[in-house]
Amino acid sequence: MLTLRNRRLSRRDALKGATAGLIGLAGCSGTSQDGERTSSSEQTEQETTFRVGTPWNPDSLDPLVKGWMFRKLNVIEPLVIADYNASVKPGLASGWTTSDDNLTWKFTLREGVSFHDGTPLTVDAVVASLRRSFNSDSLASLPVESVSGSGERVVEIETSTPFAPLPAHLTRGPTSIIAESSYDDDGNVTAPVGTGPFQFDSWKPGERITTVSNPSYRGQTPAIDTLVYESVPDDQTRLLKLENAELDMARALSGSAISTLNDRPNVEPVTYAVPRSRYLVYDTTSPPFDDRNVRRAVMHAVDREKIVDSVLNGLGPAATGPFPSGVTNWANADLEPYPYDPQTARQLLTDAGWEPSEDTRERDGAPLEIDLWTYDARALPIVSEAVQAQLSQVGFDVSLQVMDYGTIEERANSEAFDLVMWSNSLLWYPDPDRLTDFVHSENATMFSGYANDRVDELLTEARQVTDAEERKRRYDEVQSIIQRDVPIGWLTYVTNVVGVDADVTGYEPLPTETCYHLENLDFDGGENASQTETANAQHRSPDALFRNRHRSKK
Amino acid sequence: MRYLLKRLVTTVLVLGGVSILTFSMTALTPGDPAVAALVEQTGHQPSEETVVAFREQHGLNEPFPVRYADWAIDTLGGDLGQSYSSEQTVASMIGQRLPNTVELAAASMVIAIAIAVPAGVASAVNPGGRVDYAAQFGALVGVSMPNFWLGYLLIIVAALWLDLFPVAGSGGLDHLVLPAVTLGSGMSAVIARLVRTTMLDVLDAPYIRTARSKGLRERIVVYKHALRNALVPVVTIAGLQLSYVLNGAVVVEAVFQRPGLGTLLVDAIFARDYPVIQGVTLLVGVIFVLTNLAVDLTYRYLDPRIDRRGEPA
Repeated sequence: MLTLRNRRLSRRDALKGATAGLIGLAGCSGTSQDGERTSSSEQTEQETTFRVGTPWNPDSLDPLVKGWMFRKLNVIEPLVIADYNASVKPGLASGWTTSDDNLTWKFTLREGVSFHDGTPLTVDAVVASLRRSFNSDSLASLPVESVSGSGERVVEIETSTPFAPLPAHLTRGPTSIIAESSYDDDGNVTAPVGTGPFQFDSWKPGERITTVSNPSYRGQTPAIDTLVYESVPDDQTRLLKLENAELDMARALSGSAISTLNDRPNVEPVTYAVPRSRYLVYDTTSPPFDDRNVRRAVMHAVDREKIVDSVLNGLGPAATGPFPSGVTNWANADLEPYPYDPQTARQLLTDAGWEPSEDTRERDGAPLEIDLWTYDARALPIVSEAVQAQLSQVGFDVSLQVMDYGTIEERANSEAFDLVMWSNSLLWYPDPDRLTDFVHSENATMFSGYANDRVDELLTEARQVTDAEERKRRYDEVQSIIQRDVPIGWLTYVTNVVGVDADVTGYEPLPTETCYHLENLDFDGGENASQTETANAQHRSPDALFRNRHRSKK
Repeated sequence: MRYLLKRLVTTVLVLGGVSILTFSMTALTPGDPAVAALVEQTGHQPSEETVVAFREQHGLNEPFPVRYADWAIDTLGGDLGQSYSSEQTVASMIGQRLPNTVELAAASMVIAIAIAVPAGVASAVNPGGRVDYAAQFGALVGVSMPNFWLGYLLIIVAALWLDLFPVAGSGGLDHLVLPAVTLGSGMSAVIARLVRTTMLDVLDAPYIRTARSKGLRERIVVYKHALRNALVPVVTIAGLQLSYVLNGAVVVEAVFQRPGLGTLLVDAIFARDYPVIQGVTLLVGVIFVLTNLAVDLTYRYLDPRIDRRGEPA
C-alpha cells in the first residue's frame, strides 16, 4: 500500500511534470539553436553562410534534370549566358562565329577556366558534356546534328537547318558544362562538378543543396562562403523564416508580402519585372472565338490596369505585347495596346452577330456562354475571376474552372475549348524564337490552333538569318500580326517579389531568372551584422545597383 | 499463429486491391504524365518531340493492363521503379522522407495522448464541473481549428514573438515541437472526448462500486481499475487516427517545411508521377493494415477476455 501511495499520480503533479518538460524542451532548443539561428548572413570569423529559400524541390543532381537549379546557384556554367537586358553574352565561350551557310557554329573556349575538381576546361570535356546534353529529352527538339572539337580551343556544333537561336538555347541549364568526375561508373551524376563561383558540397534530397565558394574561380571570389539552397514549399513559411533570420533571401513571394517586408526592420523587398506573362489563349478553331472580332471584344472588355491595381497589389505591369519593352529590346515598341473600352467591345460583339439579350448575348438563339480554364499559380485564379466579372459586363456568360496544369494541357490539346488563362516565361532562353511556341501553326506548344502563313514564314526566316537587325524586323512583324489577330491575349507581365536580409547589398536580379548571381552580393555592417540591424538601417548607403528596390520604411 | 497467418493473407489481398485501384485511378485522371514530368524537370513547356521521346522511354504507350502487370511484377521483386520527374528510385525517395513522417506521427501521437488522457479523465471524474467544461471547450476548439491556421499561429507566437523554436525546417528536436503540437492538438481533442465518455461508462460499472466499497482510495479506483478498461476503445480510435496523421501531415509538412510522405504523395499526384504515387499508396496501405493488426493485438493485452475474432467472449 505504501509503495502504491508513493507512486500515485495527482493532477497537479502531472501538470508540473508537463510544464517542466515543456520548459526543458524550450530551454534546450534555445541553446541548441543559438549557433545556427543567429548565423544568418553574418560573418563569424569571416565565415558567411547565406540561405536562399525557394518553393522548388531539389530532387536531382543531374544538370539534365535540375540543371536550371544549379544554374541559378551558379554552380554550373554554360558556353553562353543571359545578360541583364535579356540578350546573350559569352559564358564559358569567349565568342562564337557561324559559317556562311549558317549550319556550323564555332565556339571559342575561354582561357584559364578550370573545373571545381581542378582539371582544366578542355575541348574534350566540353564536347563530352554537350553530347550528353543534346542526347537528352529536354534538348531533343533542337536541330543539332553533331558536336566536335576543332583544335585546342574551338568547339564546333553543326545543325541540320540554319538555327539562329542556338546561342540562346546554350544558356539553358541542361547545356551547362560539367567535368568527367561528375559521374559514377554507370554514368549517373553523383555531384555536378562545374566551373562556377560556387561549388557543390552536399545535398539532402527534397530539402537542401549546400554549396561553398570556389576559391579558384576566375573572377572575384564570392563574399559568401557557404550558400544553402533550401526548399520551403509554403509561401507564408518562407516569409516567416526570412523574418526570423532562418533565411537570408526568400524567393517567389506573393505581392502581399511587400508590406510585411517593408514593416520589418531586418528585411527588405526587391521587386523586378520579368519577361513572364499572364495571358489568355483562345481556341481560334471553335465558336465563339474563331471570330477575330469576338477575341478583340475580349481585349477591349478587360481592364488590365484595373486588374493590376486591384488584385495584383499593383504588380504588373499591364501587358501590351508578348515581351515587356523595359526588359528586352526584342519587344516591338510600336505595338498599340487594346484600350479598355466596353463600348467598342459591345459593338464588336454585335458586329459578330452576338445580339444583346437580357443578361447574356445571343446568336441564333444560342447564348454567349464560355468556359474559362485556369490553374492555381501566379495569382491566375483571382485574375481569372476579375476577367470573368469584366466580361460579364459586355454580355459574356463566363464559367470559371480552376483545374490542374496537366489536366488543362491534355484537354486543351485534345478537345474544343473556349478560353484558357495561362502564365509562363517568354524568354526563359533569351531569344524571341519563343514566339514559335505560341503562334506557329505546327510547332506551337500553346493550343490556340492559330494558323497564319505569313507568321510561319517570318518565324522560319528569322531562325535562318543570324543578323540581329534582320531578325528583329521579322519578329516585330510577327508581334504586329498577332496583335491584330489576337490568338493570344496578353494581359499582364509578372513582377517577382524577393525578400532579402537588410544587410545585403549588391543584389541585382536577372530578368530572365536564369541565375541569381549571388556571387555579387556583399554585406554591410561587418561582424555581428544581424544584431545591429537597426543601426545599419540608418547608414545604409543608396546603391545604384538596386533597380526597383522598395526603400520606403513606414 | 493461425490467426496471424489468416490476417497476413487478407493483408496481401487488401494491398493488391489498393494497388489496382490507385493504378486505375491515376490512369483515368486526365493529364499526360510525360508533359507533367517534363514541366517539373525543366520548368517550362516541353516540345512535341520531347514528349514523344519521354513516352517511348517510359513505356507510357503500353495498354493499361500491361503497365500494371509490369509494375506488379517489379514490385513483387522488390523494385518500386523510378520517379518520372526526378529520376531517383521510388524506394530511395520514400527512404528519405519516411523518417520525417514517422517522427512527426509518433511525436504528435505522444502529444495527443499526453493531453487527451489526463484531460478526459479529469472531465469524467467530475462531470459537469469546471474542469469538465474547460476540457470540453478546449476539445471543441482543438477539433475546429484547421491545421494550417494553428500552424501559422504557433509559428508567429512561439517562434517569432517568444523565440522559443525555429519557424520551420527539420533536423533537431526543436524543429519537431511546433508541427507535433499542431497535429497532436486536433487528435487530442477527439481522443479526450472519447476518454471522457468511456470513463463515465466504466465509472458506473458495478466493479467500480465494489472497488470503492472496499475502501480503496479514489485515485486508485480511477487510475488502476477504471482507466485500463476505459482505454480499449481509445486504442482503436488512436490507431484509426493514424489516417488523420497522414492526412494532416500533408498540410503540416508543407507549413513546417518537413518533406515527408504527405508532401511526396501530393507532389507526385500533381506531377502525374505514377511510380511514386503507386509506391507511396502501397506503403500507406501497408502501414494501415499493420496498425489495425497492432490495434487488434493490443486489445488482447488490455482485455484478455477478447478472443481471436476480436469480440468479448
